[in-house]
Amino acid sequence: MTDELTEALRATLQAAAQDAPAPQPDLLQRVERRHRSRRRGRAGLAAVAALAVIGGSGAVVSAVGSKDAPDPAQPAMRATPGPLTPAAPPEPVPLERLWPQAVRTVPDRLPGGRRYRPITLLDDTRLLVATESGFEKTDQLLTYDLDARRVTGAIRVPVPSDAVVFPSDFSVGGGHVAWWIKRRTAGRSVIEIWAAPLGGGEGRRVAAMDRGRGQEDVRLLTIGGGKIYWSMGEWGGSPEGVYEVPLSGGPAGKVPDSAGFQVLAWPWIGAPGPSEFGEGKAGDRYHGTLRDLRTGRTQTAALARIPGPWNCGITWCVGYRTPPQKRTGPELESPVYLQRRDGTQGRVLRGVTPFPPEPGLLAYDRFLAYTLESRKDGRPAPKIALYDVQTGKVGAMELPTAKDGSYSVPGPVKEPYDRLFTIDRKDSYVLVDLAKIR
Amino acid sequence: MPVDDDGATYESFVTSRAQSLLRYGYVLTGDPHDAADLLQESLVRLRAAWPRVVNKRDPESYVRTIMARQHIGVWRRRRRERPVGELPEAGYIERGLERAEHDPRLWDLLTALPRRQRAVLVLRYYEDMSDEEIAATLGISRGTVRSQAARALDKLRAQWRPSPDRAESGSPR
Repeated sequence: MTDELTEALRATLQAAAQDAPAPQPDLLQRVERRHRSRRRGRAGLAAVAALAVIGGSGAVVSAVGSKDAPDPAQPAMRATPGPLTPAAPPEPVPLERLWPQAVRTVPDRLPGGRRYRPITLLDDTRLLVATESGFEKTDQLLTYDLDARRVTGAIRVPVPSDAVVFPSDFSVGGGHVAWWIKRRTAGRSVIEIWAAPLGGGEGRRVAAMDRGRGQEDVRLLTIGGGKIYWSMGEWGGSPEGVYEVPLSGGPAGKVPDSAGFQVLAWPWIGAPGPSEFGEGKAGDRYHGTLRDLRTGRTQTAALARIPGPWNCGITWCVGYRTPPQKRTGPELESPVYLQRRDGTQGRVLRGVTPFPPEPGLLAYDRFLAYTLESRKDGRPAPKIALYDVQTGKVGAMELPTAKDGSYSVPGPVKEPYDRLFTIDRKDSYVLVDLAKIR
Repeated sequence: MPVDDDGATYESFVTSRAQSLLRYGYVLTGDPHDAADLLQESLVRLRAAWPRVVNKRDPESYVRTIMARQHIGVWRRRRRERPVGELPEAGYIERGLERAEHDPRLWDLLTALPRRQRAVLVLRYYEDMSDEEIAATLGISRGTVRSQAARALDKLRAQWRPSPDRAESGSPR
């Protein structure tokens, strides 16, 4: 029997829809104006960033970040890029067979039964995980020792009741973890940066920015040199610059001359930043300019000309052909272009369907992730593949699919130094520790 | 201006679909001004993504997804996972325009629901989506869809009584 309430709901929603207003007659022009102003960036807009400093408890922090970053400026820079040579990735080998030392499957519940979500690997055996109290609402960060199967270092993550973006983009460095939230009160948006020591304790607000009616979100955070760095921008717009605040609290501010730059990974920031949708055209070189926050030294990538935008991480750049404006087929066929920032080792990979279509970065500045779309018994049997630019080897693993044939793929890689690549399975996670691949 | 192989431009899409999208925005938000804002903001995003969307996906379902997600507003910024569906064939079937029975009391009760719960109900009973489709649209698990829907229906059930003369009156508004 159909429920009376759900019947009434259907009828009421359908009837109410007829009471909707008519579209504004100048809707197209309004949309176009807003679209253009975003593409120009936020420079001309009246939104004023008010920086406030909150807290300031005296957490002791090491002076240098935990990552000993290689200096991509070290190899002699070439004034002109080398050629791109064709390369065909070999038949993929199952991930766990190709890199057994790096792959492990773990249940998606902690000892004690609570569900969790992996954030990153802190070292060879310790996984930073988040537990959630509700809909994507992190309430706790924990350190999970995968060998000892023991959980330590509980960090409480408070979520204010007026939060409109829950704790996001957890980032680790200098013995700390940092994240951001967005709150909305009385129509005003406030972006807050929070942090806590990895040993455990309570999350602490280290900076708050009143963005008025602005629509910005934080793009990425990184920790290094005793400070938290983050960049912000509107969805689809260019980044407005890089901000910093000492981990121990204290004045927050904008990194001088950082307009257009966004955070990559300590100590690197890059410009220009790509928009969230990965729009781009031939000649664009996202993060083509790389700056070292420690020295202020800047370098520019030397890259071959390709029919689409380049998207650079720290050492490597990835490119795809800009999608044609006219539909050419059910799937976009494009090679993937790879070249080191210094102009060496350029190659064109064929037979690789990039997915997601947003050009991400190489995982761990070394592995290209893509999907292999195949069918088995008339059903989609997609695989996720990792191509190692150092050895040319390819490892792959089948992705679980739902009854209707839909499936989830890992999103584009945005953090070039994250050593963890996670594949979600039904009741488990496959953790690929990219740092263990020699 | 971007054109796909049917000669359909972004402009013609907006012009032909704006009213239907605005109806959807209105049942999602329950407010005509919020609906207009939501539509405008979502179209700005569609505009930025148009070349990709016309090639890879159906713009109508894309913009409806953006509207729903944007309206609920509260979600962890996902970066690791994104759902991939089998692509819909094309086009969006407009539901019948026949005047259905409106229950103003129920419409008011919907206003009191948290946005996410309301969005789940709208996707289920206005968009006729399965829980699986709702999960993909909102980027949440099927379990969450079910629990949110159950909670919303419980709340409504606690306060709503069918009006006894509803079936006969046809209540023109």
